[in-house]
Amino acid sequence: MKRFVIFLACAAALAAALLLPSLGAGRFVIVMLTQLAIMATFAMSYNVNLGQTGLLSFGHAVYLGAGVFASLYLITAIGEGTVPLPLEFVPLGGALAGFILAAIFGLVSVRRAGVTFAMISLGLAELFVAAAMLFPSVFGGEQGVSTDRMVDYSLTGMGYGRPQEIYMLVLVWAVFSVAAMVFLSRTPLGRLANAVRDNPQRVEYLGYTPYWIRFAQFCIAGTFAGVAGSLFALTYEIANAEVLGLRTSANVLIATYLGGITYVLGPVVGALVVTLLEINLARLTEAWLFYYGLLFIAIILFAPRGLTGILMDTPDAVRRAGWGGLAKALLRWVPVVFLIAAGSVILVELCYHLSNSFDPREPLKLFWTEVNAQSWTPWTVGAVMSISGLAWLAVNRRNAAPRRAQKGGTS
Amino acid sequence: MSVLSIKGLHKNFGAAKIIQGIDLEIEEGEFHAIIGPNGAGKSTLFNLISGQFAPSSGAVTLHGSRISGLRPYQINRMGLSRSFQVSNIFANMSVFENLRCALMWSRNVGYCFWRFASRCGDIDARTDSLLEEIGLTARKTDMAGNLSYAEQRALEVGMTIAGGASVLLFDEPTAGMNHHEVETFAAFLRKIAKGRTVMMVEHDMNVVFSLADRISVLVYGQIIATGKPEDIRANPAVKEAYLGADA
Repeated sequence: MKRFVIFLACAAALAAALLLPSLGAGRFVIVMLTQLAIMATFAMSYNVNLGQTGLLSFGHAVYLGAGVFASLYLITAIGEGTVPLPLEFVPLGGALAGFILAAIFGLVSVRRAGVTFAMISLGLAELFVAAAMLFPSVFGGEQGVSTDRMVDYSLTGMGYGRPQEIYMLVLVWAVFSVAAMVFLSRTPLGRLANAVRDNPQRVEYLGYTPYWIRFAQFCIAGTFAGVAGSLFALTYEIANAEVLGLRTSANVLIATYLGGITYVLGPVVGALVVTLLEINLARLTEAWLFYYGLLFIAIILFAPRGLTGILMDTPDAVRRAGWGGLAKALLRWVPVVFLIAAGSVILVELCYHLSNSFDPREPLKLFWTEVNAQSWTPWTVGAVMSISGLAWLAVNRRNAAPRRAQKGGTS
Repeated sequence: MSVLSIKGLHKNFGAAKIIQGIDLEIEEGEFHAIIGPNGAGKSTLFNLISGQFAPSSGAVTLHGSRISGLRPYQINRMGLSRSFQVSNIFANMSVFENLRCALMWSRNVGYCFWRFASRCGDIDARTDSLLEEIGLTARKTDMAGNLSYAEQRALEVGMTIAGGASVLLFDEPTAGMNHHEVETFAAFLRKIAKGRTVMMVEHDMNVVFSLADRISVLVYGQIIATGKPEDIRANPAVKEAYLGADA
């Protein structure tokens, strides 16, 4: 039953992704979907390391970057006629670049998992970023490297100039990559990777070398990160060394975690949420990164298996408590969460307005009204709302505990 | 010829001499129990044989080839498998997946990533029959970490025998079980041991004396006696060192 629902959801999402352009979706939606497809591929590749193999990497952007720059040069070379490759196959170049870099870095970093691996990944990432800064002739310095994807050499005869066309190309590669990584998780290597994640010592007593399992997974993760990089290059046609940096690495970690690292398709859910937040929340408020961070902390604390975990637990919760029980729990918790959230939003927006706006005396647009950030009233309202909500939580903490355990589960 | 032969084995951790010269021959098909007081070096001995540590000096040979100094996966591939005192399973995977991972190497699956695990030969069928053998068929799809303690011990032993190893090392297989569970488990171990060579560290003397063909007594890193259960029971040195004078 659960499986059937998941299958239906995947099919519906895929159909929507395919049909939206022809249903006359605007440019904005297309650009957003393209970004989502790239992010989903990247986050899935990240979770081949993190969720599947237990390798917490702080430098996954490096392999994305390898794919980005390799593809930028490859597209230019195709345009100049020096490389006879249809534009549709550019991601193969990105995959190769990601694979080679992961194979080199993997040899020195996957001997141990845990903190050792995390620290080495961080060091290698910094090293690579520093090296990129030193070679502006390759990475283009501040202004970056750019290319033109209209190379007049494609399999389908499409020019790929319009966002709809490049979206279709990106979507095909993204769906293929995600499917390949889901398949990987069901192969012997994928299962052994889960075993290494849980208990490397035991794996060694079953005839396998944890090192090779980690190495293979690490290379595959790098390969698909390279594909994501190619899709990035095809879409934006420009990049500088910033794309390799810690910001990108942290972003994919957060997206993957939000989605849920214990589920194969969790990173896709995470990519969806993060892309929607990035694009839509950023248009609403300057403080969007702050809210993004708050959401991340909330997920880590209260739902360590991510948004997918909450979705997957809902049927069990309904079975246990019934629809009435669920409604009762929601009625109990939604108002207080809303109270705290709304109160904090008011306070955060007031702070941002006072410190960042051109003239703090100007009225601040807040929800449906306008308020004066220099008067006491909005501050009082925000403080009362969040403090009363938090106080209610503190008083009812004992009742909160079982709910939290049920949502979080063990992982 | 003996299947497993240990000659002049020493292991020091810094100045601490944990294993001080062990010589032992394990015969084909025998059930050999190692007993001894806490801290005698029983677990260290198992770690030396199975490849967790390299010995400071001395040699271990399996079927005539030297295995001391090799890595655990190399020794496992040569047909020696061990279980652990504390259940050492894959807690976030199903019972079925635990066993299937345990038998993959012996079915020549290797590091395959181009085929569904369920399409790799007959490993699914073999996993099912192994589940039957260890009595966990009803728990097939449950997370291994959610099993009861005794069930985890059964899974632990199941993973140890999954690869078809001919020599098994059991490290306190019944540790932490209640009296009833121990009885059932001892019968299970007797069944498992048929046709295989087994070495077992165990504290429960009822289990030891009912299962073992021969017993070695390890005290302060040395074997003070080896022999049939009745000889060990009658041995005055053993009585003094381990069983207590009135045993």
